[in-house]
Amino acid sequence: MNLSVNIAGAILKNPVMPASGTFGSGREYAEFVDINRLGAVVTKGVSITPWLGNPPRRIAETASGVLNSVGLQNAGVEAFLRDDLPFLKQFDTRVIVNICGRSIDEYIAVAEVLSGSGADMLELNISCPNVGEGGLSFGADAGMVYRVTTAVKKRSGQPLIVKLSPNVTSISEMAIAAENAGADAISLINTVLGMKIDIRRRAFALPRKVGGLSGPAIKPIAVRMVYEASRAVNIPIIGMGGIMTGEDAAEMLMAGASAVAVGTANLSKLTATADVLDELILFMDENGFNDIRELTILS
Amino acid sequence: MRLFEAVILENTQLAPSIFNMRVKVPNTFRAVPGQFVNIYLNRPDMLLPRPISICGLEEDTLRLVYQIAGKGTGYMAGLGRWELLRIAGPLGNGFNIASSGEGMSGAGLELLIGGGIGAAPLLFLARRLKPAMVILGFRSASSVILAGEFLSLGWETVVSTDDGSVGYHGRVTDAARDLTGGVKTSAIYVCGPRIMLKKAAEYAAERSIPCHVAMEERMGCGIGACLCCPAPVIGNGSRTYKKVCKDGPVFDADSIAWEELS
Ligand SMILES: Cc1cc2nc3c(=O)[nH]c(=O)nc-3n(C[C@H](O)[C@H](O)[C@H](O)COP(=O)(O)OP(=O)(O)OC[C@H]3O[C@@H](n4cnc5c(N)ncnc54)[C@H](O)[C@@H]3O)c2cc1C
Ligand SMILES: Cc1cc2nc3c(=O)[nH]c(=O)nc-3n(C[C@H](O)[C@H](O)[C@H](O)COP(=O)(O)O)c2cc1C
Ligand code: FES
Repeated sequence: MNLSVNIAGAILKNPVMPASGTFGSGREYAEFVDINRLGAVVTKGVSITPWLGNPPRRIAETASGVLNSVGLQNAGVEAFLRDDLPFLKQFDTRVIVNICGRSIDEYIAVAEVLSGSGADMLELNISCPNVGEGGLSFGADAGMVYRVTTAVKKRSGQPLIVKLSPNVTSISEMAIAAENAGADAISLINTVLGMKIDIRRRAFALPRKVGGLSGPAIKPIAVRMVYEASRAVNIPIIGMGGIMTGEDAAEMLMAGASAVAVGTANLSKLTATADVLDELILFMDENGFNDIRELTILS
Repeated sequence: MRLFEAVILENTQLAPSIFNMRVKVPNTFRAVPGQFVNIYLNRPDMLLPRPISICGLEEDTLRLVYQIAGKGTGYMAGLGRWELLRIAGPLGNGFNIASSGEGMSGAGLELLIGGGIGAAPLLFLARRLKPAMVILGFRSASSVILAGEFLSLGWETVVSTDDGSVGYHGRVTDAARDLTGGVKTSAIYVCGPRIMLKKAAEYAAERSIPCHVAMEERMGCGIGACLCCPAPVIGNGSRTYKKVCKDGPVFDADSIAWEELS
């Protein structure tokens, strides 16, 4: 059975990876999952300088979903290069570094610092709903998607994945803007803007009021958007949003993704990434698929 | 591997809405007081784990004491003997017993302060320390738990209630002020509602007593990867967030930026 996929020239041994922000840099999960089994590891968001993140509370539970407001807390790219990247390079997997910034210059700066490093690919997060500047404001406008992508692509030494937000009217328009700007791949979806009110406390569940919704609740949105984007562009798509099982992964691949990322499921089940891979293999086996690419071709 | 399915051996009511659960854990399971386990309820409306402190560990039997606070703990209360529970643990750092005066003669009194369900992890701690004084605060007489167990371990056990229906009438910190009198206190360990932690931290700071507080925060991964469980701390003069699940749940009270916590 062939599970390997080609994303922007890099061969991933299988299409399963964690989604950014739910897996740290893999260190904590290594106790529960054999990192060597994963097609890639996508790191949490890394910025040029350390970011404090949002005050508590940062997470709330909803029906079949989770709202988060972490705010991209991270120790900055220097600490990442010193503490995290060497750890990840020990494993036989691809390293995708998720990058964030408050301005185009900050995105460029972090991409430049990473360009000579051992990172295999960069994932440009222009779709985080939990920060003021940067984040979503870049991802919600096709002109901005084009500008940020062009600027970062010019300076980055690695293939560039652009991570798109679902909080837009037309996902195809954003996907096309990224492709035209030179993106090597796109990933979607980031979290869906949401809100929860604790009626007994008469207060917002999260102090920033809004948060990013993830988990099974958003899967139908993700499947639809991956499908639409796959019709609009020719670059490969990493699909995510509510993948909890191998069957969910198969569905995302059939919608047009070439690879999948597992996010919130890591919180519900520490072995989720490896379990999704095992279940996907089982699904293929039981349904007569010999090559992972046969699933994507369905769309 | 800190992830396993555990058989429930007992799940009985201890007081109104408070339950005592015993589960069988792998015989390699070791824990220190202050550590906790995460319980996975495997339901689509409960995607996040529920952290519960370790109240006791005897050979391969883990004891948890929990209060019904919402749907997850309510669901737990309905589980019966022989049912399986998915558990990750032990998690977190636990109380730093080594830094206290334990074992040193004349080092002073070690004081445990618990509020409500916060008595649970302190009972585990009480087994590892030389008996001294514990002050437990509850809403009223009917909600008193575990006090008898501290007593039988040889601890001087003070119960205080908000309504004065039993024991000392008032706050645990007021009880501490009145009852520890002239005795030198070498360390304070606190677990309870946030306001109690804050008051105890102030009490300890005024007297320059090292104070260890067990913090609570809603969790995502529980292992230090997702950054969903921030504790605002001051370290090297700068404000950062540490992780309650991994750097904590126990913190030195003077490292916490209390003003940020309502
Ligand atoms: C390290 C740690 C140790 C704990 N030890 C114990 C223990 O030994 N016994 C015990 O009864 N409880 C303990 N708790 C609290 C317990 O985890 C929560 O009461 C429980 O998760 C609530 O779940 P629920 O589904 O019943 O409530 P929900 O329906 O999810 O929520 C009910 C209310 O509880 C609040 N809440 C939910 N989760 C937490 C949480 N993790 N921390 C604080 N508040 C929360 C919610 O905001 C809401 O107001 C501990 C918490 C932490 C962080
Ligand atoms: C706790 C948490 C933290 C996240 N942090 C990031 C991040 O740093 N960068 C990013 O691009 N996406 C981040 N995301 C979004 C996820 O990578 C993913 O796009 C989204 O959660 C949808 O997938 P899921 O439903 O499988 O979780 C985060 C999501 C969660 C739940
Ligand atoms: S709960 Fe994920 S870092 Fe603490």
